[in-house]
Amino acid sequence: MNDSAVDFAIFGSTPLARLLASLLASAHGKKVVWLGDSHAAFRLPRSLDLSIGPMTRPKSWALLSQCVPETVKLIARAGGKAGMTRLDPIFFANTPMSRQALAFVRSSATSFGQTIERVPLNHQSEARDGILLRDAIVLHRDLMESILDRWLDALDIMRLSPTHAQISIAPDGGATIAVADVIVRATCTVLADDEAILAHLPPQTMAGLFTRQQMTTILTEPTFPMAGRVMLQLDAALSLLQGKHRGVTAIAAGDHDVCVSHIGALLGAKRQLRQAGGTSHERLNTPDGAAIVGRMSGTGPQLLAGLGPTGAFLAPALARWLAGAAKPNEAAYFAARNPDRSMASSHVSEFVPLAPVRTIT
Amino acid sequence: MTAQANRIEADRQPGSTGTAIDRSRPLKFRLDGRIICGFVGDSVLSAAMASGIDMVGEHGGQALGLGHRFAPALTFGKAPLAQALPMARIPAIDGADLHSCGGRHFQLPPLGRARRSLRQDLDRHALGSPWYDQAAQSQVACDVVVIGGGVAGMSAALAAANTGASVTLVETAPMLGGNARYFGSQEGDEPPDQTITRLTAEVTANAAITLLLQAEALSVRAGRVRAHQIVVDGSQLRGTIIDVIAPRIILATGAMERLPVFPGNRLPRVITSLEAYVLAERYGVWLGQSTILATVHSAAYRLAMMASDAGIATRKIADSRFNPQSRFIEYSRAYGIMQATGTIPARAEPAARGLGLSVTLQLAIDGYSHVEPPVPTDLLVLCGGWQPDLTLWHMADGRSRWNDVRHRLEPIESASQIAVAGSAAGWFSKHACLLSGQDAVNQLFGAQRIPVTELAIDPAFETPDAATPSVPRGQVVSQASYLDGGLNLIQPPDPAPETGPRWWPLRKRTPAWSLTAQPQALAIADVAAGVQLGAIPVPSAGIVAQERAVASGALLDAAQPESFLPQHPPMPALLVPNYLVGRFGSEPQLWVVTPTEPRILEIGALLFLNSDQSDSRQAIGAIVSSGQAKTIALIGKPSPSQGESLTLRDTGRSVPIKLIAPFDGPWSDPALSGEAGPA
Repeated sequence: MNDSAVDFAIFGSTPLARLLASLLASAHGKKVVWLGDSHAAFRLPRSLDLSIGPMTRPKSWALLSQCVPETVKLIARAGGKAGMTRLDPIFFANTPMSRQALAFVRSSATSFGQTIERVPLNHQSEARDGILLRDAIVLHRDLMESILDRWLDALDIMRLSPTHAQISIAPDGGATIAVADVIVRATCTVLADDEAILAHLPPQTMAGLFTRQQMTTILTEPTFPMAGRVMLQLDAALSLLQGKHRGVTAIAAGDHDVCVSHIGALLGAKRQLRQAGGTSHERLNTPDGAAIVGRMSGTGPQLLAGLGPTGAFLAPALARWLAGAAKPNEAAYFAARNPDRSMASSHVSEFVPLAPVRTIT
Repeated sequence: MTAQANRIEADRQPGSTGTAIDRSRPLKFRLDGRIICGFVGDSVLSAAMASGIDMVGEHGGQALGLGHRFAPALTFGKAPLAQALPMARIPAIDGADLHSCGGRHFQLPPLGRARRSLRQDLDRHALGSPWYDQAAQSQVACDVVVIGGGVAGMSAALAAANTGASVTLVETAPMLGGNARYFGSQEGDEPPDQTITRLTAEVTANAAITLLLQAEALSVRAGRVRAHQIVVDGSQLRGTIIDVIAPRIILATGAMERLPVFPGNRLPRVITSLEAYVLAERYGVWLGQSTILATVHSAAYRLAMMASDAGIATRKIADSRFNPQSRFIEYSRAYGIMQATGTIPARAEPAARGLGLSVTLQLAIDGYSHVEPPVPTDLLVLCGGWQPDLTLWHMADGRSRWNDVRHRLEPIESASQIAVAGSAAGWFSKHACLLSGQDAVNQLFGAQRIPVTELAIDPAFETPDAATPSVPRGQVVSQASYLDGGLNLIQPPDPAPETGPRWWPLRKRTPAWSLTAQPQALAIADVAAGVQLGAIPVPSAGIVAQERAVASGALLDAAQPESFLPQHPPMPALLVPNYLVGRFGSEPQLWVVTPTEPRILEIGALLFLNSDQSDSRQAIGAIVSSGQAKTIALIGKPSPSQGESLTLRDTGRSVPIKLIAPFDGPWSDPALSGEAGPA
């Protein structure tokens, strides 16, 4: 039996989890084990990794504008240039509530140097507002995953599949992971994506902190170019990404039929779209729409949730914070988003789309 | 192109001269302007192949063969695309004028290789199936719908009818029976011919069973099956979409033949063994006069003997199994057919002259590899094993998992009102398929289950199927290879290695390859090939199949634009939405404001104490409502006063504004109704 001790056990299959593991090891000298799956090359995506998001609070934009260049350099250094594309996403809003929110997204982003243009009238209607945000970066998970996995290997970070591991997370946040004849003891556990939280956090701990939302991903056959290669519709939590072969990946709240109706509402019924794949999954939402970063009542694992599409790009700040080396603004930002905050009178809340959710009991 | 060069002579032994055609009734029709000869009973596809058309077009500069699973949609005369029908299912009609859909290369007159081609531009236009996009035109209701008219489907339909249920049996072919004949008979069991004749008579005589022949099931959802049927309307053929509404559904969709993965595996005159069997048995068609077979399955030896009976020279059978045993192999030796065991197809290329191929075989046993010299042949017949057709099962949310011994995806039984039977359920023998059809009915009706057992021959006498062969990556070859033989043209990763040092900007890089990046539905055989090539891990195979092995029509129904209207409840915008709580201090106030110069103040524009400030974190307020009557701002400044000036910043410009009066209306946007208060 091979017994080893590490500082951090990072659970999660997203680029954020991989980046955190690599940063904690390379930039902060921590011993790390990473537990996740590598399936982006053959399974449909559950979320999007974008360097901008529909955030209404200036502090969120401030942190993001500080982290994005750092993350991009980091990924490039890891050989991941091929897994990133620069593009100009478009955010749309239909209802009065979301149009109002979009206005605050625009004003907050603009003050941090984000170039924003109104979407030309031919792409919107009286019942819809749209803004185009220049020069954002999208990560292609199917390519990025293998690049980051190679980087984790180069950093001698142990990569384990949670499906084949016996995992026990202690109240103090430590974890014992047994795989075959290897036992790894971690001082700190980080649950870095929804899948990891759903798998390892007891439902009674999740209740009150999260609601479950049914999400649907649909992949289409190639279609005509969209107005923007990435489009977000705030009301429906709908994200559309058109790949280089012109197939569209749509991720939206609701079941298959609801997702189709949102795609139709945004792209128009005349567009020829044929399905090339589809799946449904669950996403964890927070009651106030803001991120959750930290431990519940100071116990258990560190939770990273509700970071939206920009999560991966916050990895440098999150890694510093986990390693106890956060800058003052980062520490203040994450402290304000701790899981123990009052959700009813939250001072960090973000726009919450009106979509059906399921309470965790 | 008028002669039927590929038609087996009528005086050959029965079994390969065409049971479906009537040679005494010749016919002619036009296909893309060319006159095609055939017989009554032919499909348009079989008549075209009999007449020498064996190529659909070019993809990436390489010819792709015509076949049952890869043929263009056709229209009669100048009918619109929406009325197109599948080439393989259209019966040949004397005097018809048919046109292939999609983008065609223009060439007049067709020369050289183009004479055997439908000249589809496959780089720019993928072959389509427009009938998938259509809405239902009629509805049929019944207690049980059975999809698939093979022995398992017929067995299930009869068992369901015996319970007193009304049954609809949906079959793609114009006749019942499926593919059981191909696999031959087994000692101690009723021959397939007799079973099919008996079951067909019972099904057609049973008043409780409604037959939908020439009907392809397109989709399955709980309680509903959508099918596309070709019907005769006067002297015309037309397609119609039928929704079969039934609380219980049995899928007896059979198995698909896998395509070995090697360069040139989709050239014209490279076909699967089942397709070669159907063409010969039903339509008396065989492409060319010489054949090489490459198989992992013993029934292919029956096909070789059938070809010999029809006067076709079988140059060699390459069997990937080492020293396989089978009664069919013993019989084939009596025919003098040469067998090469432990051998797989390495590549196929068009012959330098003529219509044939140059086929290279490779001895591959336990790491030993030896590439043999190319052999010329008119036809290469492939059998890469059998994958249960679970396309509709996955569409109905059925689950599956990879069987590592049988090298295929198999369904996992669920408690829903949909059951799977026969080869689709993973059974091999006719005996087991018949039982599983009856068992599926018991499963759906909650009756006692029937134990289903294979009528298996000892492996010492009947060697099990081997895995589908694939040529090891790393070989640089001229022909493309494909994962499957259907409408998808998915190629395995480029085997060409990277060249040059990493720092060299002009070095050739291996293109990134992932299934996720393929923007098309996958056939279940694509997924199976992906597993065997290592692109999909075994534990994820079932999930990938469920996500990607879908067949579906238009996602958006242009006829119902109202269904795309956003379905949001009419909620008013709050003057202080949740994301402004705490942003401008703990006790912000709402004020009516006005610009000191004529200007529309936009929602979201930030307010500052003076024009020097621009960082949004320094903002002391923002415009939250802007209408013709009044503009309202949320202000967090301590003790704001009437007439006080502030600076508004919007898109970089600063605009002076004045506070007019505290706003004392409701805290929802005045433009909208509704009660609201501060969050």
